[in-house]
Amino acid sequence: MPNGFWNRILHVDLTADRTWVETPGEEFFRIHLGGRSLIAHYLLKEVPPGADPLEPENVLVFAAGVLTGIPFPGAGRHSVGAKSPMTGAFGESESGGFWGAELKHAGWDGIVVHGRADKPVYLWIKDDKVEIRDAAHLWGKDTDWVEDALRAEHGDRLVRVAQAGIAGENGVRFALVVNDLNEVAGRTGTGAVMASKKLKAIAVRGSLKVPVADNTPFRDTSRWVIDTMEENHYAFHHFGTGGNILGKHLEGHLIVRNFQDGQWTPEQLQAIDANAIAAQYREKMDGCWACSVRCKKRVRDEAMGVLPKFGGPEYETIGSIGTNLTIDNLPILMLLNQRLNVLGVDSVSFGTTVAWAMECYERGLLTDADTGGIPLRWGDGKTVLQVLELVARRQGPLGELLADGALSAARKLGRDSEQYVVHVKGLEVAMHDPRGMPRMLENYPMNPTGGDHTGGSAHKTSLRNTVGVCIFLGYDEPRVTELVKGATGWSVDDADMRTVVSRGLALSRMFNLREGITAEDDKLPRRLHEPLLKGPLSTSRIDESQVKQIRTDYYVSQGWHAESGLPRKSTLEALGIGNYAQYAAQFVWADEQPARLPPAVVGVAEAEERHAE
Amino acid sequence: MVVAEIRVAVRFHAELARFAPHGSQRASAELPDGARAADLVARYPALAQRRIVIGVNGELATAETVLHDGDSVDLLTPMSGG
Repeated sequence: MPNGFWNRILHVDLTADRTWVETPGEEFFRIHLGGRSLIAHYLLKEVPPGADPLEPENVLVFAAGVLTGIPFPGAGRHSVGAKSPMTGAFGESESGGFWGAELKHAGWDGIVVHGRADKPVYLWIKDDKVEIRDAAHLWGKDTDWVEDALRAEHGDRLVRVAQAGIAGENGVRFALVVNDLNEVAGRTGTGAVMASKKLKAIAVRGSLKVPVADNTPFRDTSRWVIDTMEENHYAFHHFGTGGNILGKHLEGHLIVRNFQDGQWTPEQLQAIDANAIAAQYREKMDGCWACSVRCKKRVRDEAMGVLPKFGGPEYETIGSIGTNLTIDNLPILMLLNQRLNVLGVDSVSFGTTVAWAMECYERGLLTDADTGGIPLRWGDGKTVLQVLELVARRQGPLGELLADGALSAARKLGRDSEQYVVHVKGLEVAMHDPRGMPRMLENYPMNPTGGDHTGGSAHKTSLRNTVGVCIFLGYDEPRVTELVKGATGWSVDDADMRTVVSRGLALSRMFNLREGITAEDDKLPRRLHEPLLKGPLSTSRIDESQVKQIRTDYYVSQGWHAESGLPRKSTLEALGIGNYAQYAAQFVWADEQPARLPPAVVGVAEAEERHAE
Repeated sequence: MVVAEIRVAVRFHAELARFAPHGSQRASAELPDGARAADLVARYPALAQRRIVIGVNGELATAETVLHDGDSVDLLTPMSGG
């Protein structure tokens, strides 16, 4: 009997209307641990090169990690992945809440969805019992209606539901997968993939306890989080995300008007930040499964019909819809947040796409004839509400134009409007400006999913998104290693954890290379090389040579070829994933070096040695 | 001898709210004329070892920024993600 995982992957072929169980074995879980690496395995193995992301040959993967579902703070995380309809690249996004833990409690480490049903269906999982059921009554319904219906159908208020919203049904490419009504796997369009398979929802109920080899690190960590809450997690515990936005304004890298300005007015941004939400509309703080940090806002505004069950605006939404579009009306912002979760739309891609449209409208590149007579003006929250409803349903010329994201819209529109799209690899950039945040300057160009700030190319976030732990928890590297040891009973050290991260990055890199995403795509968009218009950063700019140096350094650190970014054969073999070359043989640098772990795993000294080669 | 004083409004954002006097995010402080931002921060010993961002009247300030009567001071921790 394994510990930390079940050795059970559920496969669902919706075309053939059948399910089966894969038991890949302990070595498989030692290699991958879960999350990103598990997703990369199935995308490389199952998705044919060049597949259309919204056609049946794509697969949709729900992946827990070896720590998901073990009762300690931060372990309510799971990943969702597919070939992204936004980028054509490796797609991955993480979510919290209860659904991922429930999946693990039902005895599953992951779900791989293949094919496409000929009519809407949902998946019902109760422990080892799995059924593909008719979902005609759920199709076209709001997320809360769907969750209520499934709970009523199964007579259990604790059924956990992950679902594609109306936006996914309509093929909106940045549609997301929402679970528990207020948690989302937000980026890269996995909700569009889910709905393209006619899979409306996955309802899960589990009764098992994840077995662990040693409960000590979980007990100690739970106690440590509670005992040090004020010191380590005060802001999250009392405000959630978005309490320090004024700092971005002061430092000059606030996201304003499609990444143009860097500053807004302090009064306006403080009207919508987490301090304002706490003071005016927050009903309570809430948490994900087993987490004492409880960083989730629950807001209510009776006048606007804003209900706590849909959560409250996180920083990314405050940024993408609030500061970026200069909407300072907090009730409207909260309603927009609610509608995004009801319809299943990624707030970052939506907000940044609308920001692009507003800039184009202001510049006269997008006219009333293109928008169907809808004026797109900064700060007009009521119009943005209208636009969201149109986009989610692909209605009208504007809904159709924006539903595939900003880059696609610019290519349809033409008129030299692509220069204003703020994206990496086709995914709109999140609300952290690399012009003011060196960590994001290193992250965005190298991130396998594009302009996402969470999954990332960095070790810490990548590991968390592999083992299934929230990136907000203040755990250091040794603690995460101890937790993995406690869960699995394996004798692993910090270097082993870095190896796991490098595996996931190499596999996702191979997938991207195979799909035609190359070193030329590891870059920042034009806008992020321009100076900000206001504030202390208005006299500085990021030179393209800086990004190229970051790229080279990163390739070298990961043991990839310094110019092409192709993973070296010697690296893959040292990482224990040499066999994956069969899925992307042309995209492996066939060196004749002996197997050698990359500098990202073994340290800087060897990195310098490799530079000298 | 009368020492001239100034009064500034102070706002403790998010994480720093726990260091605010009287459990409120907002406070006022009286300081000698010519006081710098560092003198204000020194009033709150818990902030001494922390990396903080200081704003004065909506603009980025440093520890050496001289405060004036009626100034509005914001104290924050740098933001990293979310």
